[in-house]
Amino acid sequence: MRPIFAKPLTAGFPALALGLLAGFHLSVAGANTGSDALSDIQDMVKNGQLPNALEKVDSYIAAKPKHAKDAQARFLKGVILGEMGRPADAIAVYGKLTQDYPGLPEPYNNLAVLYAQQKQYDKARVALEMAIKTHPSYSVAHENLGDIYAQLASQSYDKALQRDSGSTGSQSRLAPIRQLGGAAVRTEPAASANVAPSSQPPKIAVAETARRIPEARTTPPAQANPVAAESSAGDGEFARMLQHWKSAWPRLDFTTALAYSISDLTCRIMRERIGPPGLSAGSANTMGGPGATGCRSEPRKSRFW
Amino acid sequence: MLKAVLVIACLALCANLWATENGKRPQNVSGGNSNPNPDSDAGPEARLARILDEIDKNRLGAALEEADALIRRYPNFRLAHLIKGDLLLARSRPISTFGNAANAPPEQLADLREEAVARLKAYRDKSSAARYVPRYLLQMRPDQRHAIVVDTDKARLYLYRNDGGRPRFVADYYITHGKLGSEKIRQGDRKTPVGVYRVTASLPADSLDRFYGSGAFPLNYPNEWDKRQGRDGDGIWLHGTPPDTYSRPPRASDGCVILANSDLVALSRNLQLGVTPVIISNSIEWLSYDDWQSERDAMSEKIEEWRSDWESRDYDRFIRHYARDFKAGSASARYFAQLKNRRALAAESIKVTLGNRQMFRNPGKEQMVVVSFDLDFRSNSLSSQTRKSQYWIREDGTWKIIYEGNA
Repeated sequence: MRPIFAKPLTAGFPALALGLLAGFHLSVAGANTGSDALSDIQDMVKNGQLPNALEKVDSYIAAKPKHAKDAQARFLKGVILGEMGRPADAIAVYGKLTQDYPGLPEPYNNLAVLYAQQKQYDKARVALEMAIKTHPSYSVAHENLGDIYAQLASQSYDKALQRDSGSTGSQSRLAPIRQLGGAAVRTEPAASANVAPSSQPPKIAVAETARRIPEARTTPPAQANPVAAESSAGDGEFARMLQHWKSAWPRLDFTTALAYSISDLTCRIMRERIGPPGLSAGSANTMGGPGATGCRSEPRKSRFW
Repeated sequence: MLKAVLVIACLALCANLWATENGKRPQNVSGGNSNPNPDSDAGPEARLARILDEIDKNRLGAALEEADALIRRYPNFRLAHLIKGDLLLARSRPISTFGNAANAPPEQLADLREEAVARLKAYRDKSSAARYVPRYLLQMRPDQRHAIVVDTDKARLYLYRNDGGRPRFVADYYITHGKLGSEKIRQGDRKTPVGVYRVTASLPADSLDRFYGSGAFPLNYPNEWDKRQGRDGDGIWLHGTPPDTYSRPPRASDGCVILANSDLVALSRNLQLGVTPVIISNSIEWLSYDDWQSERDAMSEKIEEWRSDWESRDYDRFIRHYARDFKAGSASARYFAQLKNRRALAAESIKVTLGNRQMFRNPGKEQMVVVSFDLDFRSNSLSSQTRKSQYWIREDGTWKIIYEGNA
């Protein structure tokens, strides 16, 4: 896996302003004091002055333990520790944050990223599910959860095929959050201009993390379209197997049922994921509609009747 | 939303249709949504079926839990890992087929797919093993506590108990057979023989390479009939799997019949060395108990006819039971030549008693029944007790003996 945290930051924090604005929804009451000090520390992180930044953030936290920016400061400490290659310490910071501020999705997300780096995908999955539980429309967590599931799948496949886990070559694209408040950005329609539709799976750039929007997931690559796959599968092995099955059970083919169930399932999951309750009806339609994803709701109907 | 309801309704109806078609409803497709006793059915097939069932019921979380439970029970069950992989990947991206591992060798995926099909098919078809009788088990010997029937096409082994001569279904297991199929003819043809065999020995695991798993039970291939047909090769065993895998693909062995180690251990408790019949078919023919009974009666009558015709000392009546291509086994050739002597037959009064009879129909294209019995022959001048075997075939519309020899 790519050591995301070790990568020096070059692109800055485009989400900073938004993130700070959104920070208020965390119901951490208080004035705006201290934000200058925190942004100074963030600048230090940006310039790679990590030990300095850690020192500063520590004294900031120590000086104002009940400060309104306490969560932001501690989160920043977690980011710095992660950057410094101290995942265990970072995990401790984020873990404490999730206890003290269970409503914040970002610490869960970054916990998941650290767990994923240590290949503890089940822990990562649980953390991301917590992030989504706190914020069902948190697109980064959804994105990362999808990636975790792909990693977990890959582990299962390796066991199925008894091969070395290194041989798949798949890399996690997990994105850490740099800044509290990224979760709220998703509801900002202006951000959509940022993502260009592509047949390639989206590569998450570190600095863009907080601006990722759900539309990127709703345009599945053409080759992943279940309908297309279904028609091409009619020729080969699958069709032969189907024939074999049909001789015994003319009306119900469990192998095809499995395939269809699974592709159906994907559709349902995608609809669930991209159509959270908070979303407007219009966008839910474009994202989750059967036409958009290529999902069909009643494949069995034509098969079994 | 409406569509989803439609799909579910359609599924429920399909399940019902299927259940009536097979006569017996498996416990996991119970028409309703209850699953009263999910663990009553041992073996991985029940769990596999439950995974699919949960998928059909739109419960991916439950399906994944079933997959995890399956893996906890059978940690090296590759198929379970593959299905789990699919269930996980489905949460990440759309998938459209079975086994979506990246860069997977297609033949390996095909093997796992074949195993899934074989296991599920056997599970869905399980009721026939209890309601019908394999045609082959016409009569078990009283001391044969169990009989084994293997269906290579279905990748399945069935264990039957001898209930006063009536076979009663006990259990069935997934098996692997020859990489190149069945009907072994030549040494090294990587095929599993088809015929009536028996377990001849037990080779404990510690005497074997780990490849053979929890043990091995050699069969008496080639039997008398195989030899007569010029079939060769040897070392056809029932054995287990290597430690790194719970099971192997349906077609993977060099001719042996392979079971999961736990299944082999369970099966071995019912094996009697030199006694337990192992009948290997490439496609079992099932009979109702009524049809089985009438086939058994017909064959019994034929053998009794042969016995009493021998006792009658009427050469023509006796010799009509023998096929045109009849050959005696080497050990009894001389004895049979005597029989052929009309005068020898006519001169003596004889008493023929058959005991411990067994009759197994031989699987395969030719109609044949393999019979063996303890022969007690008494005449004025001779008394002998031997165990004989006979192969009966259909010729000119009736059963005739094509081979006779010491068993």
